[in-house]
Amino acid sequence: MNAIRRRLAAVSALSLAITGLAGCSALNPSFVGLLVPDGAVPATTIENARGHVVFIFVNNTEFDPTLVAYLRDQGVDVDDPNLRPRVRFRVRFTFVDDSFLSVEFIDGSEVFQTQVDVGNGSEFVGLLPPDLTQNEKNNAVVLCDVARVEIEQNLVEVFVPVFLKQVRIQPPTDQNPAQTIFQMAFQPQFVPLEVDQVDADGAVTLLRNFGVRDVPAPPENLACGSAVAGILSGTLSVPFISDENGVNNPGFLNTDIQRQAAIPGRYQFRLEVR
Amino acid sequence: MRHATIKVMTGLAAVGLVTLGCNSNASLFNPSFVNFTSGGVVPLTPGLASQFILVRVVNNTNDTSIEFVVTVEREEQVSQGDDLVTQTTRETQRLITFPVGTAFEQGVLFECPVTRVGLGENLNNPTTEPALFLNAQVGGQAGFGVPGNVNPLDARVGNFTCGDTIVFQATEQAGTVGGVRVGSFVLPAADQPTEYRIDTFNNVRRFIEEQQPDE
Repeated sequence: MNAIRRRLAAVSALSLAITGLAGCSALNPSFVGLLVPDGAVPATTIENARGHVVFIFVNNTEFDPTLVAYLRDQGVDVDDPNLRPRVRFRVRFTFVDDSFLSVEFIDGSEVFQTQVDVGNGSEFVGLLPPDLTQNEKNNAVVLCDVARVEIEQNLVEVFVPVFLKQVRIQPPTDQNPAQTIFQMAFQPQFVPLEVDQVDADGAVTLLRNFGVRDVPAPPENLACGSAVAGILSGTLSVPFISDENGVNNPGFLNTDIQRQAAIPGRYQFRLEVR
Repeated sequence: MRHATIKVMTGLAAVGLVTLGCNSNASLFNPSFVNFTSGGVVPLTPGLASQFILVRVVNNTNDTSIEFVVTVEREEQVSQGDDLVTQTTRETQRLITFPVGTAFEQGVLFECPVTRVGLGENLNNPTTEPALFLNAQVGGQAGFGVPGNVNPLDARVGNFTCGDTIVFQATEQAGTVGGVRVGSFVLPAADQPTEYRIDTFNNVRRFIEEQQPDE
C-alpha cells in the first residue's frame, strides 16, 4: 500500500510538472505565432484566449415611405437600396470578475436634410452632425466569461434626418382669422427611444416608441462561445403639419403631446442568444 | 503480480491526471478554462466558412487604458465606363481596452475579403500614424496618440487568410514612444480543430443571413 502511495505521489508530481512546464498547450493546436514584417513566424507565442462572446447588431429598421418621399423632394439622395435609419446605442459587457467594457454600436444611412424654410423667405441651414461622420460598428467580440450583456441606461437612439417645426395656433380675432405661427425648428439629431407610459393597471396612457414587452431583457451568465444578436426593427416616422406657410412639412403643434411623444416612430428590440 | 498491478495503476493514474488536466471534455472544469489550457471547446478563429477575420487587441500594460485604431483595406473592382478599375476602400474601428480584469481585450469581426489589416487610419505610415490612444476613456477624453510601429499584415503575401485571427498586443516597454510596444500575432484557422461544442462564428453568420431580406 505504501508503495502504491509513493508511486502515485511521484506520478502526480511528475504529471503536474509536465503539464505545468510544457503547458497543456503542448497538446494544443492553438499556438499563436509572432508575425514579423516579412511573414516569418518564430517560436514566440502568446497565451490562448479563453474563448469569446460575440455581440452583433442587426438593424432591421426602415423609413416611413412618406418621409422618404419628403426627403427626395428636398433633394436628398435616398436611392440607396440599403437605406435604413441611423441607430446608436451602447452595450455594457459585465464579466464574472465585475470588470466591464462599454461598446458603442452605430449603424445606418447618413442622409439628412440640410435646410428648411422658416417663413419670411429666410432659410435655416443646419450643421453637418458629427455623428453622421462616425464609423459604423455593428459587432464586438469580448473574452469569456461574460456575466451580463445589457443596453446601457436602456438608451437606444435613432437619428431623425429632417427638421421638425414646432408651431402654435394664434386664435382668431375680430380682424384676423386663426393663424399658424412658427415657434422653433429642431435640427436633425439623434432622438432617444422611450417606452410607453402606463398606469398602475398596465394600460397605456401615452404611446411612445417601445411597447413594455418590446424592450430587451439582458441575458446573464452567457455560455462561453455564445453569439448574441441585438435586433432592432421598426419604422422611422415623423408627424407632418401644415406650417406657417401652408406647406405640409414635418412638424407638430406645440400642444399636441401625443404626436410629440410618438417621434421618431414605433420599434421592437429583441436579444437572441445562440 | 502485485508489482504489475502497481505499475498498471500508476500508469493509469498518470494518464488520468494529464488527460483530466488537458482534456476538453473534462466537465469538472469551467469550459473557458479548458479552452484556455487545451483548446477545442469553443473556436478561437472564425474559420473560412464564416467569411470573417477576427482582429483582437490586447492591453497587457499595468495601468494604461488604450484605444486601438484598427483599419482594414479591401480591394474592389469597379467599372468606370468600359474599364474595370481596382479601388481600395478602408474600414476603421476603434477598440478601447482597460488593464482591469477581463476588460483588457476586445475584438471585432471584419467581413472577407480583406487585403490588409493594421493599426492607424493610414496603413502606409505605421511609424508616424497615431494608432494607439493612451489613457482614452469611453465617451470622454480621447487620449494621447502614439504610432503602433508595426507593419500592416498583407493577405496578398500570405500573412493571413480569410478565417484567421489576428492579434495586436500592447506591452510596456521603456524607451518607446508612450512607453508601449506593439506586437502582432496570427492564429491560422487551418491549424484549428474543425469541431466545437459551440460554433460561435458560424452562428454569427447565420444570424446575419437570417435577417437579410430574400433577393
